Order: sequence, then structure tokens, then C-alpha cells
Amino acid sequence: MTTKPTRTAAVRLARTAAVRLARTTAAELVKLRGLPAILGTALGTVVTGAFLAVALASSAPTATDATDVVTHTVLFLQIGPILIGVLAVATEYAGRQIATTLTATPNRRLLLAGKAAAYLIVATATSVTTIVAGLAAAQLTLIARDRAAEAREFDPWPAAGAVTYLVLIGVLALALATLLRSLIPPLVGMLTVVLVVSPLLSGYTEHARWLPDRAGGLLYLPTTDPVLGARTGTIVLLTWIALTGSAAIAAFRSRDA
Amino acid sequence: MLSISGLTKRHGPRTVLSDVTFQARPGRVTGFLGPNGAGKSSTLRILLGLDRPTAGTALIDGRPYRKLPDPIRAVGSMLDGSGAHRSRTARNHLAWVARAGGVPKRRIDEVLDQVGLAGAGRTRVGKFSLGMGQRLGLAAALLGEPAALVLDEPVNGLDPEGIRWIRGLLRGHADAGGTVLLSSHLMSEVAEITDDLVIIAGGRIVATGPLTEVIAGHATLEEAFFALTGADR
Ligand SMILES: Nc1ncnc2c1ncn2[C@@H]1O[C@H](COP(=O)(O)OP(=O)(O)OP(=O)(O)O)[C@@H](O)[C@H]1O
Ligand SMILES: [Mg+2]
Repeated sequence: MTTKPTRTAAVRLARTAAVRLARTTAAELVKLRGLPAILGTALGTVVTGAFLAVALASSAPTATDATDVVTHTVLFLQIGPILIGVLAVATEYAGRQIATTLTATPNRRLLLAGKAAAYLIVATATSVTTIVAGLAAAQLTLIARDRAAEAREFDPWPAAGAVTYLVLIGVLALALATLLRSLIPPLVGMLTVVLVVSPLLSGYTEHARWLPDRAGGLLYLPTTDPVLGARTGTIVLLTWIALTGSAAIAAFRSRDA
Repeated sequence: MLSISGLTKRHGPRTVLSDVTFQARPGRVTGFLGPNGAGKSSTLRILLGLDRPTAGTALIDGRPYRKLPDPIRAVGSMLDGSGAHRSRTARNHLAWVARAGGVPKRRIDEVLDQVGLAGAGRTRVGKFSLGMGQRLGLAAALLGEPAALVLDEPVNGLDPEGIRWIRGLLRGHADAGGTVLLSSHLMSEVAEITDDLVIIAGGRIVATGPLTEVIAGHATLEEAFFALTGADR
């Protein structure tokens, strides 16, 4: 007898929540689109991806496979999603836009969910375009050099893994920027880890495999580690995201704007 | 009605607000007056759900700001300047605020026109003068056609024409039954437009009431202000 109205109320509540999340995500997308730095980063990442693929495919003496070429460019391409993730948050704190944001969307959890969703949409579109452009550029270059391997079955998984990795490493950057509410510290921190600490450390200690980018890298280079595989590597990267993300959400919800 | 009650705010050992209590009523322009560092912005930030009070409440028609279902359609607000990132255009700024607040798109052109920025919609905020930034902040406040306006130093950077314009706007808003709460440290501005006065000094309310009552016994508002806040000693 009493279940019917309760269920209708629950459905209505869920619908309201969905409408609010859609609205907040749409607002965050308009916000990202209005920032020239975001558009520039997205475009720059795609162009760099194609350019690096051509450069690598035409210079590496042993290159015969487009996927192989593209997965070797991810080390540099990750700068793109990291920048997008950091900029999406840091621009809130330049000029105190955050006050406008929080007066329009006072629910902190809803705001962060909308921000993350908008980031995922932009970063996924950018990463898919970049990897596809890279594959096409590499393949065309290999064909032009007459080096393309015999047409065998195309394995889409390393490319899909590269896209997933690019999107996820930027989520970590977004979480770190939310925690630090600034531009330079999270940006320098992320870039130092993925471009300096991780390559250096991996020469010294096998524990470097637990770093977020090393572990996540197994998504597109799955056979390079004796301990972690693609699945466990992804779990390690997701754990980094979960830890940083929880700290960021807790801080964002409790502190003054 | 905006009801601030027993508001206290501490930053570490510093108490910046002590037991701040006052109301801003519909149909009236309430001026929130006090010297630099008195606690005006701190109070308004708590009212708008940006900062948390150490004690006390700030309610909009009985609800805290964070619990309003469509906040910018109930309360339009502006704190220091445009509140927009400098690299976006005025129109883009208003577009995302409208989206977030559930406000129809047509309001963007209407408010740009209303604040005199109709020709500057495609200009990047970083190229705006102080007064233009202020006008953009006001445009965002007016976007949701709110019943209440909460404005921190709204006349900052406005030219004489702009000051006259905002006076007319706020008067009209209150006369139509709306609530207006504005802060200022410029006594002359406040005396011209407010019905009710709230004077704060050192984080404490030192006087509240209709303008005429607060300045009763003093030659001018300026004298009343200095006598009440002890600012000239
Ligand atoms: N985050 C903070 N940490 C420590 N002290 C703070 C913080 N924010 C504000 N204060 C202090 O609180 C007091 C009140 O500041 P507030 O900005 O509310 O003053 P105000 O009345 O708006 O002044 P003004 O007219 O200059 O805008 C000041 O002494 C200020 O230094
Ligand atoms: Mg102030």
C-alpha cells in the first residue's frame, strides 16, 4: 500500500538529480568551450599526435606497425589531458570565478560531478581524435616508406588502452588541481611525475611500477611488466585517482570558497 | 526577507564577525555600511553560502542559500567585480551562468542590454575596464530575475552615469517589492539610495534601522558614521 507513493517520490528525486547533473555538466561544457587555452590544448594535442606519429614512423628504422608507433607517442601526448584537467579547475581560482560558480551551483558534490563529466567528454573527444589521427598518420607514412607490415588483423586494444590512459591521467590532474586550487603546483607536480620522476625512477627501482603513469601505461603496453598486467595496472591508476579524488572532494566540500 | 542571526566567524584565532544580526526586508533598499575590514564581505559571503559561519545562521526566506532549489533565480549576487575568467567573453560568461542556474538563454541579451554592455558581448573580460567588469557582474546578478539582490560594493568603479543608473535600478527593484542589500564604505552613495541602514565596525553591528533614525542626532550620515564606528579616533 505504502510502496507506491514512496517509489514515485524516489523516481521523482532521481529524475531531479539527473536533470541537475545534466544542467551542471552542460554549464561546465560551455565554460570549457569559452576558454581559448582549452581549445588550444585540445587542438594542439591532436596536431602533435599526428606530427609525432609521422616523425617516428619515418625515422625509426624498425617501425612497421602504426599501433606500435602511436603507443610510443603517449608519453608526450599526456601533457594535453593533464593541461585540460588542471585548467578546468585552475581557471576557477584566477579572478575569483569560483564565487560565481558556487552561487550558481551551491551543491559542491553536484558541481564536482558536473565538472568531472564535462572534463571526461572533452578529454575523451580529444584523446580519441588524437590517437585516430596518429594511427592514420603513422600508417600513411609507413605505406609511403613501403614499410607497412603485411596486412594482418588490426588489434584495436592498444589504441583503446592509450585513449583510456590519456583520459584517466587527466582525471588525476583534475583531482590534484581541485585539492590544490591553483595552476602551477598541480601542473608542475603532474608533469614532473610523468616526465621526470617516473622515467628516472624506473631505471633505479622496480617499485616505480606503482607510480600512476607506469601502472596506467600497461593499458597500452600490456606485456612490459612482470608483476602488473593491463587490468591490475589500471586498478593501481584508479586507486591513485580514488585517493586523490576523495581528498579533493573532502577538501572542496569543507573549506570556504 | 534576508535574515542574518547571531553570525560569528573566526579565522584561526581571529574573530572577524561577532554575533552579527540584522534583516533586509522586501520593498526596501538596505545599506550595509562599514569601514575597510569591518566584515561586510565576510557577512555577505556567508549569506551566499560561500563561506561557513562558526556560529549563527543566514537565511533567505527561511532557507540557507545552499538549500535553495534554484539559487540565482531567488538571489542575484555580485562580489568584487565581474566574477568571470579574463580569457572568456562576456556572453560566454553569462551563457554558462544561465545554464547552471536554469535560466532561459534569451535573458543573456536582455541583461547585456540592461547593463549597457550590448555592444561588448563578444569582448574578452580581460579587456574590460573596472566599470565594465562591474556591469558584467551586475548582469550576472540580474540574469535569473531574482526577488533579492545582494551586492558587495556595487558602485565601485562606476562612472557618474553608471552610479545614477544603478541607483535607479535598485530603487526600481525595491519599489517593485524586491529586496536589496548592498554594502559600501562610501557614505554619500548609501545616503542617496537606502531606506534602511546597517552599520558594522570591527565585526560587530553598531547600528541598525531606518536611515532617518540612525542619523538622528547627527548633522549628516557622515558624522553619524564616524561617531558610531569610532573611525575618526
Ligand atoms: N580568509 C581569511 N583569513 C583571515 N582573515 C580574513 C579572511 N578573510 C577576511 N579576513 C579578515 O576579516 C576582516 C573582515 O574582512 P572583510 O573582507 O569582511 O571586510 P570588508 O568590510 O568587506 O572590508 P572592505 O571595505 O575593505 O571590503 C578583515 O580584517 C580581514 O582581514
Ligand atoms: Mg569587502
